[in-house]
Amino acid sequence: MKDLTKIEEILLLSIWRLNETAYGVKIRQHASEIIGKDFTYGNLYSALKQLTKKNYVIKRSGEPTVERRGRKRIYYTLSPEGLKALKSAYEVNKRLWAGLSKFVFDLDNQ
Amino acid sequence: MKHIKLNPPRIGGWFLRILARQEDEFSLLGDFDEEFAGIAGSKGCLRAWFWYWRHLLLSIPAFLKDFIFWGCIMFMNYLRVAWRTIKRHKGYSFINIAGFAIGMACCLLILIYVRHELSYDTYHKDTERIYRIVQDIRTQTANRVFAPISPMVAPTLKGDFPQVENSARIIPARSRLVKRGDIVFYEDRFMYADQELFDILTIPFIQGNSQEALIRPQTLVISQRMAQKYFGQANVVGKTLEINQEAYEITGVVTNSPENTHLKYDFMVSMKTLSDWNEMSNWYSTMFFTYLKVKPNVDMEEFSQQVSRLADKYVGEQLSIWGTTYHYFLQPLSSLHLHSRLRYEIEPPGNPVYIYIFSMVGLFILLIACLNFMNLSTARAANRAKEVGLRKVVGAQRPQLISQFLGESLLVVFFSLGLAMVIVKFSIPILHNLAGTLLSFNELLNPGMLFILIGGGILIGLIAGLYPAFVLSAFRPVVTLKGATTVGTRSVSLRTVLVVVQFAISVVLIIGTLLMYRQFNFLKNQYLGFEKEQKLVLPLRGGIIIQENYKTIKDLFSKHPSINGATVSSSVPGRGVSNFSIKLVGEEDDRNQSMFHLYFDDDFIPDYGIEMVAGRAFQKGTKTDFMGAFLINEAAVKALGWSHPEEALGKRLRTGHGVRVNPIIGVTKNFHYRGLQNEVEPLVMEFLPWTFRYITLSINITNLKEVLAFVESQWQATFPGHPFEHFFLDTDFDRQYRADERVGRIFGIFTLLGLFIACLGLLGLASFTAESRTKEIGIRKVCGASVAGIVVMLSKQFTKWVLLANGIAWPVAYFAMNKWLQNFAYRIKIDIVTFLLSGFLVLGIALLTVSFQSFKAALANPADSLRYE
Repeated sequence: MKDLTKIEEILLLSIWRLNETAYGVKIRQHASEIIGKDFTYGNLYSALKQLTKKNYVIKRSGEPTVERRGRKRIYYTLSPEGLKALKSAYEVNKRLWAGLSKFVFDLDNQ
Repeated sequence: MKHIKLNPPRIGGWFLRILARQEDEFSLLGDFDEEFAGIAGSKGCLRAWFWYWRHLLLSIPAFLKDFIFWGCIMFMNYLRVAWRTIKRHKGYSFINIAGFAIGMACCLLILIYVRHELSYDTYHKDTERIYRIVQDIRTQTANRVFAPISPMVAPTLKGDFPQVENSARIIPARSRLVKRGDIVFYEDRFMYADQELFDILTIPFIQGNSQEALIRPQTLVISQRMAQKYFGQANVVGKTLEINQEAYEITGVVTNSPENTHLKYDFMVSMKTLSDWNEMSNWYSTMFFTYLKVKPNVDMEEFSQQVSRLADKYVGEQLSIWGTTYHYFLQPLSSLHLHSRLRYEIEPPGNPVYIYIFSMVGLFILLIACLNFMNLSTARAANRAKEVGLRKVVGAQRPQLISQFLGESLLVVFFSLGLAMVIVKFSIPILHNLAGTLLSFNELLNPGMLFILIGGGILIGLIAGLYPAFVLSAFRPVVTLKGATTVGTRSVSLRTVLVVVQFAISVVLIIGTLLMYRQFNFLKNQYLGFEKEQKLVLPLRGGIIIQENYKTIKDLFSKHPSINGATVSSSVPGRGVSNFSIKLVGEEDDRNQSMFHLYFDDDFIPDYGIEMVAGRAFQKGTKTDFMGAFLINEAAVKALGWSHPEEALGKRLRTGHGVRVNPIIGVTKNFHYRGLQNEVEPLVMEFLPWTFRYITLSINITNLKEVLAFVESQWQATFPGHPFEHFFLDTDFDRQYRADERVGRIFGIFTLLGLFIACLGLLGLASFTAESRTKEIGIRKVCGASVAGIVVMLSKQFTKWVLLANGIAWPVAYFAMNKWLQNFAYRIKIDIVTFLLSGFLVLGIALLTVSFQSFKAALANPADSLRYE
């Protein structure tokens, strides 16, 4: 299993948290909140494409809406492989940050 | 929810549609519209507009990255597929790549050759301002244009014409004996030159001062390789060299002469050395090649007009008494090699016709290779049809398929180009041996050339790949996937045309080669009017003079029993003859002609077996023959206006700048003292001992070794200190055809290559045909067809094509070769045999190629070919 890139990790997490209601607009807004600045659609869709190709997310089309001028929403949900990838990313992050957070924040507070 | 009054920007949507990949298009546009609506509802339209455009722009880099990324992935996929195709069809690929590589190697070689020929004397600084001035000596009836002119012209140019920046003279002097200690050689690239030459031509100095190298008498500038040859080092300024027994001080060393100049130098002696010579102030002399450089922005038309009659001011009166006028004209330096063929050119000029011929041949071969590629690619269409069908089903668009196949063709082309470079690299030395042309591989490596190579490669790849790409990409998936095998046979008619064109070109080239070969053979075997076999010639070079003792020297050599005779002469047939004006004495003669002169002793006519048609030859013991009589040839009889040779006898001629007035005592039959490119021209013969430069020995070659040893020992005893040199008259005479023969040989090589490439193509096509008819052949065999019958059936089609090709090629070849043969005064007749022979040759080779595949197909067990399905 290939390691996730940071962008992929953010997107997977967003999709997971949005739980069944994840589609383009929501995912972007959520990701923007997490990173604290605008997440672009360019990055969003090229990363989503990769995730789809790797079978980490599953696409599902919803109902057309007026705001979308008659276009359907495409909902994304996490696949079991996606969940597994997220888990292993978490493990990596945990090991990466183990015992460090306190030290880093101490530095910050000085 | 608030009603949406304002639509999102339309142009923005259009942009997004371009940026997004197909499958995400709707989702992406929807997302943008949704957010736009949201913002418009809560914060107003302006904000929404602003947001829309900002995000659109922000998205571009990522989309672009994505696009390039997937483009690369796809490209890698194409490459992989191309590589797999190449590997799976090794035979086809070999034919494709080998054919292309050989074709391109030919083209590259020709390109190098043509560039070399065109680059003559273009490397000089301000080369467009450098000219050579030459002279047209006109009488009422004739004019003679000389490349070398009077030594007075150069100083006059500088003195009288403000447009002239500088001018310089040179006299090329062949074969000087150069000596340093034990190192003795005859040197040919030898000249007397003015100091100003270095200001006009670009001749870089390695050592010595270029501003004052040739200002003193007895000084000398040598090339780097000569410094190495005589001294083993470059640091030789101040040292001395002995030339024809005189000492000269070396004042400079220059870089070696480039190959692409008409004026190749190794030794340049100061013109000041000759300042006591009375010729140096002679306005009527024709010995000095004169170069000049004009100032920038000179009106050349006006200047040419002005210099045209520059001699009139000084010697106009005398000239008008003689009834002659001198016209001078200018030749641009860089045009000399290809476009100047005057009397006494320093180097035999190149032939622009050959440049056209070779360029055509190169293009033809490249065309054959390209046709091959197109042919094979479309023929292979059936194999690729399934792939195309599947790609289309999976969603490939036609442009994608076209770019895939174009990419494949580019891959093959560049692969071949690389291979072609390797071939060129290794074939240059071979070509040098075979054809005597020295080309440099490095000419290919300058940026301009590389640009041409890469650009040309792309162009050829696109052209050659365009047709297959369009044919292949046009397949309809439903048809191809159903398993129809007829795909690709649609373009049979076009393939036929291509094969016919290929073979027509090959036939033209073969006919050309055969006719050239026959013409050269004809020239060599033509009876020349004298005996050229078994003649050993000893040139007397490096200042040997035998005016006083030529008789005793002749006796010395003819002592040997295998030497049947010895004669001395100013020149031998095939070597140069000089040209002087003659006048008929006592009769009205306004012709004022000039004729070639040959000087020899009383043994020459019998030894060379030249026939007399009237009068007698020089006789031993007849005192008046010695410096007191003329022989002329039949052509001269005609030129002087007599209808019968007998009329000439007793008439008196004036020649030798009007000094010698003597009677004509005999007329010889015409003999070819020059090559057969020219008609025999009028010739005047005299017995003048101070002109003798060659000893001709008539030898019996049965014991050649012994004779040579004897002659050499006699030479060493007679001319100590002069290296022994000799040549055989027949081979030396044939040297005159060498340049043409060389061209013939190169032509032959390219012909073979062209035919080879065409055959490769035919082989590929034949094997394809056989393959696609496997089942048919199987059924025929089951029904009782014989192997021979099947071979004939498969070959019949190709035979028809080749015959058609012959039909096209013959008129073209006839026209072209007829034109070429006009170069020779004596030439073969173009006969049908050569054409038939070429036709059968090509047909034979084609059938051989095809039958190889046909037999394989015919011999296959029908059970195998019918078993599948």
